[in-house]
Amino acid sequence: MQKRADRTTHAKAARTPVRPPADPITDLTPVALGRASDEELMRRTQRGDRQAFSLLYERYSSSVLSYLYRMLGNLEDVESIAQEVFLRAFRFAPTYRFPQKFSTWLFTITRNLAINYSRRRKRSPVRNVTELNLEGVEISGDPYKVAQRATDDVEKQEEIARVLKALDDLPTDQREVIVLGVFQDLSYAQIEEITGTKAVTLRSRMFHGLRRLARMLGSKPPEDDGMEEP
Amino acid sequence: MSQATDFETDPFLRLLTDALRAGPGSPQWHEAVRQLRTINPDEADEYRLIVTAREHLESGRDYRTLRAGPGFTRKVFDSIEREAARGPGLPLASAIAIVAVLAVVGTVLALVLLLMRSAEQPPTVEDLSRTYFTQPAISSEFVGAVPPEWQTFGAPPQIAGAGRGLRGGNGAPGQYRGGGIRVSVPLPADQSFAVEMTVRAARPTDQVDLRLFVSESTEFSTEKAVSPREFEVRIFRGQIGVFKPVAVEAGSPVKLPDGPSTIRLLLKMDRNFAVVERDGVRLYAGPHGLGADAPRWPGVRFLTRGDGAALEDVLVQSIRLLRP
Repeated sequence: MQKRADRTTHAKAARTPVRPPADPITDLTPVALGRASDEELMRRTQRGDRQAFSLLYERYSSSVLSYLYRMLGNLEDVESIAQEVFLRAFRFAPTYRFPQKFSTWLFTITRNLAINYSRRRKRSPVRNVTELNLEGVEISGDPYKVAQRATDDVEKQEEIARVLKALDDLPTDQREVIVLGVFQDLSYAQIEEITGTKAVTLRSRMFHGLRRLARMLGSKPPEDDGMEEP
Repeated sequence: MSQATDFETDPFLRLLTDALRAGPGSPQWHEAVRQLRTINPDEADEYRLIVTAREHLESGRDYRTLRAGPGFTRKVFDSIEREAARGPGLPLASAIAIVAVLAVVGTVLALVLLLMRSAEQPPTVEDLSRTYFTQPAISSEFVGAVPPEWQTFGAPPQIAGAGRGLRGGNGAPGQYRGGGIRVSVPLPADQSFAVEMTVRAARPTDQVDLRLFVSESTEFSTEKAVSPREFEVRIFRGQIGVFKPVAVEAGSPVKLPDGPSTIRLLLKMDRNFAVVERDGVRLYAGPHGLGADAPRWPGVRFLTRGDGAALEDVLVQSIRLLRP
């Protein structure tokens, strides 16, 4: 476990940009701008700086696209909704209020649009995957290919693939907290702000969601965990 | 297994859920795994399964990871360029909020103005015309005796044979005698009301002069049983006419069908105006000429000449006194 943990720590460090405190940026060079915090970039966006917004887009486009894909599972819809997310983020930039974390603000927009889409049930026209303007490590979403990339151990590959497949079958509220907390690295406090659900309930959903996955992995039939929420 | 509240109060479950979120390699993870070794083995087994599932999720983090392709990025920034080119317009939410506030303020102002205007201006005849009178205060059908809500005056009217309606009392040969029914209690002048009367007219006749009236008093004359000031709707010789006080004709009389017909008259009245309709067709709308503060005594009068079957050529089948 320790070896895996070290590897994971490295992976996390590589994923998370190193950011200085949110001091006001006076140096306008791209390098300095690139070191600015999300919140500082957002404040610059509010003043009409589109370059600052493009940096935010670079930092978060993959997170938004992946979140939508994991929650909706439909690439065509993901593309159109994600475009709307960034357009709205730019349009409604004046409504962002520091010190709220930008990621929380952005994922609130993303989640709301995803929910609206789900309510309308209005699907985008079906297109061939090759016509989409998206790229992915494994765009087909095949869990076995992801598992093969993760380890050479065939037995572990099978287990990883089964967990990933089971993830899609979780109740939406449990899947959402796992996607936001595990895959998007958001804290319970942030998820609480985004979803409006109490942190204690989110902890419960995380626990019971993972327990359900564990039981699938252990070949035990999952129990109904839904009644244990506060 | 744990109850929901445990996630608030149980330090280990808080630590475990923190570790499950943060993932392998995090300080919470190390601490949770360390504490797992110290708890009841039966309980620990299930926790270990959960921890293993979480490790598999960590290994599968690439699952459904997407990146924006150049086409996607171009589309996003094209739409942002278009948005920026439209100028620094208000955000949609703010615009909607402003429009909503303006709409509410406008509506309130309009209502206030309407109330002020209605407070300043007396009701018009069209206001009366548009008023619907739906609440019956008196509703009478003349199939037996004259109902007690009505008082007779002059030559007492009678119920026609087989309860076909109210007819005038017998008159003298060659001379009209009057009599009819009126309400027992007057209506105040400031209260709007309507009288709806259904009349069965067999044929045009000059033996019977039927008048639906509203008078200012109950001082009826001896012979014709008329009061000094009345607003009347009159059915006589196959015509309907409207008369304001002191027999001033209001508008031209309207001819009725020569054959048998059922006529429904509606008289609406408020402090200043009267509206008269026959079968939904307006006959008159304008000032009624009664005193603005005088009491209102609605009633029906028959002026009859002679006696016999001709008196049943004009029968009042029903009367309703209505309030708005």
